[in-house]
Amino acid sequence: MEWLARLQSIDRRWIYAAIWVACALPFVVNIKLPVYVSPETRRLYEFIEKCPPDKVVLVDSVWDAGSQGENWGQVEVVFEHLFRRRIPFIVISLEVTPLGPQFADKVIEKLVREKFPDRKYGVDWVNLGYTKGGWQAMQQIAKDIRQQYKKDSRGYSLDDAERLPLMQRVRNIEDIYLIYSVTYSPLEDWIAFIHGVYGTPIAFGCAGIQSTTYYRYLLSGQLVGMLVGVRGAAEYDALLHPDLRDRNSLGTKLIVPQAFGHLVIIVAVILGNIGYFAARRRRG
Amino acid sequence: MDWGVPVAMTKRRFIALVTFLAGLYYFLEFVVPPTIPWRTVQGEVVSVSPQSITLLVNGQETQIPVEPTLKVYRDRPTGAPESVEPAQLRPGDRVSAGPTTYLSDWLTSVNNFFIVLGSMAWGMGLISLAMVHSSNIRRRRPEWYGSVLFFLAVGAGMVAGFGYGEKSGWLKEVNNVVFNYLLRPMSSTVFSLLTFHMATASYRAFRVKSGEAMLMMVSAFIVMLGQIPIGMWLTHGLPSYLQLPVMAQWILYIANSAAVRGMWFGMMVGAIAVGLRFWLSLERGAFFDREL
Amino acid sequence: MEHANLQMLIAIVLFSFLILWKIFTARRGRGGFIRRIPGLNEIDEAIGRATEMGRPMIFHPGVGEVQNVGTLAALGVLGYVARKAAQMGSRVIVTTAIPVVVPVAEDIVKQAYAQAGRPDLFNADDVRFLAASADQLALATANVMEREKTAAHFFFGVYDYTSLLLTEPGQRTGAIQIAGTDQYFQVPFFIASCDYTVIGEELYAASAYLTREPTMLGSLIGQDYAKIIVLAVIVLGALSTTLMGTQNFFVQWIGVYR
Repeated sequence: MEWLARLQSIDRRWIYAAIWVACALPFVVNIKLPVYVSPETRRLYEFIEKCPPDKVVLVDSVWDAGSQGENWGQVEVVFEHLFRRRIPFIVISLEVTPLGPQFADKVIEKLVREKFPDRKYGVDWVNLGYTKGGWQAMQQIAKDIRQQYKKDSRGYSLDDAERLPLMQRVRNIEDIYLIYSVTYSPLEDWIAFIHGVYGTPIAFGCAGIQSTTYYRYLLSGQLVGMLVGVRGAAEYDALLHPDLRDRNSLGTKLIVPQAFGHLVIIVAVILGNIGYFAARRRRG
Repeated sequence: MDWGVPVAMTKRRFIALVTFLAGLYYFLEFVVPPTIPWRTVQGEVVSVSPQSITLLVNGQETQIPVEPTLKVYRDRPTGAPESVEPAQLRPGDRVSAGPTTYLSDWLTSVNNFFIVLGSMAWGMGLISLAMVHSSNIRRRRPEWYGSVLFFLAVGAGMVAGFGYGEKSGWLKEVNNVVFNYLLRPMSSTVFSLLTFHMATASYRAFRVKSGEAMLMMVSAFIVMLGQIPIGMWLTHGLPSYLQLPVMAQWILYIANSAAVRGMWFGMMVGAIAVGLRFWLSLERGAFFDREL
Repeated sequence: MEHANLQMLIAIVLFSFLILWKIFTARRGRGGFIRRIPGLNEIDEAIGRATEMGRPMIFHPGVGEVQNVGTLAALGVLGYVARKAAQMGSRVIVTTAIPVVVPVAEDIVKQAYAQAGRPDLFNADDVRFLAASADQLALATANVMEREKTAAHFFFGVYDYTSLLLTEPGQRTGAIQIAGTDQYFQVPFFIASCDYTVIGEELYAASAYLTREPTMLGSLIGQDYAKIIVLAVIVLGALSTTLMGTQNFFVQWIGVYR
């Protein structure tokens, strides 16, 4: 029983090592796992499917290296869906991190290079860049997007019909079908100041840990959908590509180390409790 | 005579006044209707010309002259009415039109003012950091060479910023090195530390010492397994309500949302109270110890 | 909501009236009772222990902007911690990544030491702006913990994913750790790695609880009255919808199904 009791005080370095191996292994051995598609992911997918041809999607993609593990996959799958359906989209980066536009550009560059070489900047998408201002900026965008942005992230004027034909038919919130905000923890101001005022549908892509606070908005209908962490990205990829072999987004790749990591934590907790009960029995 | 106290009191009274006025503007903007209520007309648009709008009000056509002070709000199927220019109106729109109360007209300018003010914090941060690190170097504090690195890093970051949006050239290369090869991996490393900390923290804290702890652990296991493919694989043969992903969804949607809502109602009422205390400078304890 | 409708106006006026009424009643000497909040009771214990060991303590006011309600509440707690530390002749190190927090925190700590009659103990270098982002701040704060051998850590305010990056290294140093946040999703991390955790709204009540200031106490009681009204509306709405469907007068008037 002595050795069992010792399980409650395993040196933290052993746990670190186990987590490291569990998370690194899937990068060495190529594995793909099927996923269960949750309702919040399916709702977003189906909502985007129904986008009318005269509207655009506004993507607030504002994350950097810190949370790219979760957020990269979330924008990658939605951008792929928008490109595939040829729904034009506008990328903005509000608050949080000024590196947002660069990271969004990287995801789009990769998609254009690998899957959609005929999609054009200014026609199929526009990146308006970083802005500060929280809900005040949201209000300005809703009332008149040119009040908040005079130029895009490349320095072209929004009224430049030659370079940015897409922007010539986008004035205000009336032209936006959906706002999809992707960051570690999306601003709830989107719901209060945009959905509450204009009724524009909102969707979030957030870190797994943050998602617990947003489920209530899904229940009340204030969010049309949500991608939760790596899982959300993997599920969306599954909807885009029914055949497991076709899936190659970051979400599908990262769900495997996440699965193994969860298992290690569960095993560690169980071992700790075995040790705890063994020690308690020994003390009588 | 000690001038310190009167100066501090004047400073505080000034802060209290500015806080009150700024808060008052947003409060009034929110509660005062955007058009003067007794001179506002509601109806359906019949026709629009540059000089006037014709509305159908209670079955009668009414002409409203287009003046600079006229504000028109169009009803929407959902949400609140939107402010529109007379030229954007189409026959059949339901609108309310009347002379402006001016408050909402200034909203954009006031918002812009606060956006600019918010951006200043970035500069303040940089100045504050520069002061700390320059004093480190001047006084040769332990590890002062770290502070030299700080200035080098700020310089490199600024130069790299100019490379954003460039297609090629040395600026683009610097941008690549700083953002892609330094900042990105370093930030990712910090974030990934969480995985290790999370594992050891849960290992240490999750001990079944009571019935509640047991309940918490079982629900944690269900949610953790329900989030990953292994949960589905383990229970795919069972009826749907016993499958781990479905059970995890129930916990997240129902049990979790109920708790979060309860907490949020309390927190939002708390936020109103704190907001009110600050707006009216009633806060005591840390900030305004003495009566103003 | 761009402009308040009638319902919203009534709610604002009613809630503000209740809170202000209770604040002014409490100021006239009719205070109230606050239930025990264990995490806050232990603050004195933690400061005492750090003083006995002759080591400094760290106060981390979160990563929220200064106008954030959680940050404001945290600064209230900082005022208390600094005052107690000053009375005992101990040192408090404040670390932050929010530039505007620096002058405010400096003012609070300076005032606390002056009030305790120990202005000589105040050192402006102990309010440290260590980095411009939350994750770098967490690493830098962990560094301070190791270097200064701090004996008590207080984490109050708004927290994001960096909470564990602060508390786990802190846990390893053996310091007593007390945390409080209104960010629901960080609470599990704090519970797992801190000795005491103050949850959600308790953070807003912290200043009132610690200082027993009539204004703050009155405000708390006013909040409770406002919450009773919110609860009554929820119960009435649920009951009327269940019994009469969504087309009943009450639900239509409140405007949920517009």
